[in-house]
Amino acid sequence: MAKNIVFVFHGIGQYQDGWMDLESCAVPILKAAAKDYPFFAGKSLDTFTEFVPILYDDVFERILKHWQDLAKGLKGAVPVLPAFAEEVIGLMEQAGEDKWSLKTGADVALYWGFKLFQQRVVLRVLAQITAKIASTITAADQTPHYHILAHSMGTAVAHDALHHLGTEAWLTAIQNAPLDDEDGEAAGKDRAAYLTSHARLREATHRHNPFSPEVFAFQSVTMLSNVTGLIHGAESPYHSIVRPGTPGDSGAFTNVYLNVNHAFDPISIVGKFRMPAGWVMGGNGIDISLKHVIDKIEHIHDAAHYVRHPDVHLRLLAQYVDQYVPSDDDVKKVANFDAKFSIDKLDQRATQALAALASGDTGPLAQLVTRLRGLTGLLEERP
Amino acid sequence: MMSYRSFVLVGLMLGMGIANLARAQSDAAIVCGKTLSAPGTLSWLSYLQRAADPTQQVDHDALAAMVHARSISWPTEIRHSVAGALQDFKSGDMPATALRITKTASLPVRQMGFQNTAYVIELPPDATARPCANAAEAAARIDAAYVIVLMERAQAAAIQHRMKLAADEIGELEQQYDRYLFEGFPMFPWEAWLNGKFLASNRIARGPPRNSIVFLHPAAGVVGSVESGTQSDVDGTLGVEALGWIRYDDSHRNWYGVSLLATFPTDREPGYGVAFNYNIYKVGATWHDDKGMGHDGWALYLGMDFLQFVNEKYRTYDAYREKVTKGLSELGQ
Repeated sequence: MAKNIVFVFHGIGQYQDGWMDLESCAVPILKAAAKDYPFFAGKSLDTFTEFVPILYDDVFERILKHWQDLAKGLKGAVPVLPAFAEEVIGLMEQAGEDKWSLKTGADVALYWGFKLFQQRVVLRVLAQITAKIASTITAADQTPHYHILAHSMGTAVAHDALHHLGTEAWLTAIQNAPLDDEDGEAAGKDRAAYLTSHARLREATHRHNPFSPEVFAFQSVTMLSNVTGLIHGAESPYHSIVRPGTPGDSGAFTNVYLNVNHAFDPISIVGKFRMPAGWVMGGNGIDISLKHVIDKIEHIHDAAHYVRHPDVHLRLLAQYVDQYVPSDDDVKKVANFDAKFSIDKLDQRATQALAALASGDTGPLAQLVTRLRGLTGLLEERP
Repeated sequence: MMSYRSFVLVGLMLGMGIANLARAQSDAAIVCGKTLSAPGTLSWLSYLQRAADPTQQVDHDALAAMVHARSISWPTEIRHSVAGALQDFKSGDMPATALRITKTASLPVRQMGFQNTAYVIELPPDATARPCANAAEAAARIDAAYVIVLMERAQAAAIQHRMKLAADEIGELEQQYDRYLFEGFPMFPWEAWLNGKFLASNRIARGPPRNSIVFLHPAAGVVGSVESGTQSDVDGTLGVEALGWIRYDDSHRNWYGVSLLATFPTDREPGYGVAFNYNIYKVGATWHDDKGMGHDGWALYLGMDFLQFVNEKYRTYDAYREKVTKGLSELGQ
């Protein structure tokens, strides 16, 4: 049996192995939500779908640790630094400290402002995705479908990674690989033979990229609290290949694009991705703006909070499980949920707190929102 | 010369001929109440892998005849959809990504084949849905769905090996970027920004830059006067390479470069000159206007980027060579 594969991208923060199982993440909620529907009675979502965590936060940690080591090495070797250097080196020394990046929004700055680091992060992501696809696409009796589920800053990373994946000539890189080691001569002969075979295969397939949208596409891309409108690398999300398929378009990299934001999530608001009308009209672009609150309003940005809404998790379950098509009764849960958890049901005090949170002035995301607004200002100043 | 599309069509033909659309139970998509099983045998796949031989000829007419024979009893609309899709795929007018059964993201959900093409075909999961109400039409839709499943599987077999190669290349690029960013000439934040801004290509597959801009780069070192008549003592100092250039070799394992240098020793006036970099070592000459304290004139500067002492050993070429050898054997060479 072929399990469909869902690549799950985390948001901003510090993530370790096992992050995908945290209760603030989307996957545990999706698995729990499935149990509410008759189709999944006695069945586990894991039977149909494999969730693959995509980790990239370690690249940021390495960068900050690298700078911290540089500063410490320098300070250790030069006990008395001039005043101008003391301040800069002191800042770098703090870079690798616990939660420093989270507190300062350094991940966003490193990704958005440093092209080389952005590319390193993209490679980190692509290494995980391509290895998984290459090892699973023919591993079972039927071809699995591949999906992207990204949250917050992960939406920007996923967008950039997918655009590079589908537009670059990966199979030409081997020709430029260095051969200057002590065994370089022997390796050079190996490579010549390898490239001969490689060229023959490439000639037979006429493609330098087996992940080009003409031969490979994701089944769905879901962006929760989408920030690609603000943070993106080589290509704008409005012009990249990360778009839903429409008739006559052979360059789309996903069949379905789900853009899910929350009217009161400050990151959603600052992220400002607006789905083009053509995507919606084509039928495969779904633009959802949620207005619900469960539990504490401080959790409004959590991926889990997004996925709790049946309007989101029903669509995801339908995409991720080949056999599942929501019944009419299942779909009715969307309206029932809205009736129960809509912001209209909040009292005045909670509504005011929600409005303050959405403004980005208070709450755990206030500092990050301020920094994102700073980025917005920089972007608007661009000619 | 056998094309990529021929790979897929050969796979489809053999899949239909050998597997005969076996009906073993599985968790695949459901069409008109029928769970689509996989082909009972996958021997056609090994044939497909052998079909890498570019001299292989494909009998397109035989394939068309096979589809025609299977679809003769289908309703015209369904027969035309499948035959048209096959024809357009063969001629390159239809992307391979249309070879799948998909569901819409809208609620209620619809399921279809050849989505976003002129040959789109409804494949409802529910046996009571209107397109499945007629038994003959339902059987035709199920059969058409099997054809799509086989086409998708054949397409996957045709590109899987190249996907593996691409994944290997991306892994190799990761190593190259790590050498440039973390194991080469150490970049301070402002240098990393400059090099990304001015030297990085938009194409990651081209690898990291071969050059690096040096700008206000601090490093540790010692400085000692070499002019006759000056004090011969040396002093630990901060050196700042104001502006310079680094060039890497192909492997990004070795680098050399030249920079304008300023030093700030504590026992004499600052010095200004030039520094040469080779890997972690720096050697330079600086001029100190220091008549009062006995260090006037030229001084020798020796420095190093201390970070390199704690770095892991550079990777050898062995891993790459092993990969090449493995790739060759997989291609049967």
